[in-house]
Amino acid sequence: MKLNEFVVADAIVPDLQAASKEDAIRAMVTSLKKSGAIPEADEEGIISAILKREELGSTGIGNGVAVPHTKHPSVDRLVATVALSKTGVDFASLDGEDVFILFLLVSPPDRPGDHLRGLENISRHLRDQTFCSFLRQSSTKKDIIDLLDEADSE
Amino acid sequence: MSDAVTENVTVPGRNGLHMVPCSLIAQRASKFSSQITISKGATNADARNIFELLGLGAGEGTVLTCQANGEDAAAAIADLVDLFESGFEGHAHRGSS
Repeated sequence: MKLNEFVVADAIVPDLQAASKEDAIRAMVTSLKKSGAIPEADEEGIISAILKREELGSTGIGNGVAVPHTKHPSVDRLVATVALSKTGVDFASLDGEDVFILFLLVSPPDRPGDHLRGLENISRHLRDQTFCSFLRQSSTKKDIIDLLDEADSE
Repeated sequence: MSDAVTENVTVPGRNGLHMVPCSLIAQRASKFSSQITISKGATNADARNIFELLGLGAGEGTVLTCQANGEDAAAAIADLVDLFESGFEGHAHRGSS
């Protein structure tokens, strides 16, 4: 499973303006809605589900990275978006540091394998400091898509 | 000084080794001084590193090898085996991941 197969290009947020975890999640889900990847009627339900998942433990997993996610019946395939924050977002991360790179995933409840492969793919790239550094320097959707394409072709 | 301790474990639960179990494994592994590696075939993950654990992409039923090297290796492996056998219970809530 390649990044660009599930990251919705139109929903990428290259300059996230969010001061809090909830703001960040809201902005990313709204961007998925505007791109048509999730139904408008389910926007609030998806935001609530992701916030609820965060209560189990932060998905800010270190390296300035967070991967907020949920399963939701409104999607029939894994969809995701990427957001970059220049100033950092307090995500109550496991290492206590702000996050700058966010991948948000919504997957169908009956496809746990897809969710796992999505997480596997994202984490494989995000543990690479060079990839993270290039990603943080990206300032347009096109830069980010090109970088994901490059990562996919490795 | 201590020899390496190795045990195989099987991934429980239909969601596989998603983020909650990986976070729990990393937390547990961090309590020990031993170097702990979890392997799926030829792919190795440092048990303290969530990125590497998620990168295993281990689905339900996958057999993983846990190996610890260090003074508390036996205790570390026993603790990890317990965690897998408990099915990460009490943490992997309803369809969450």
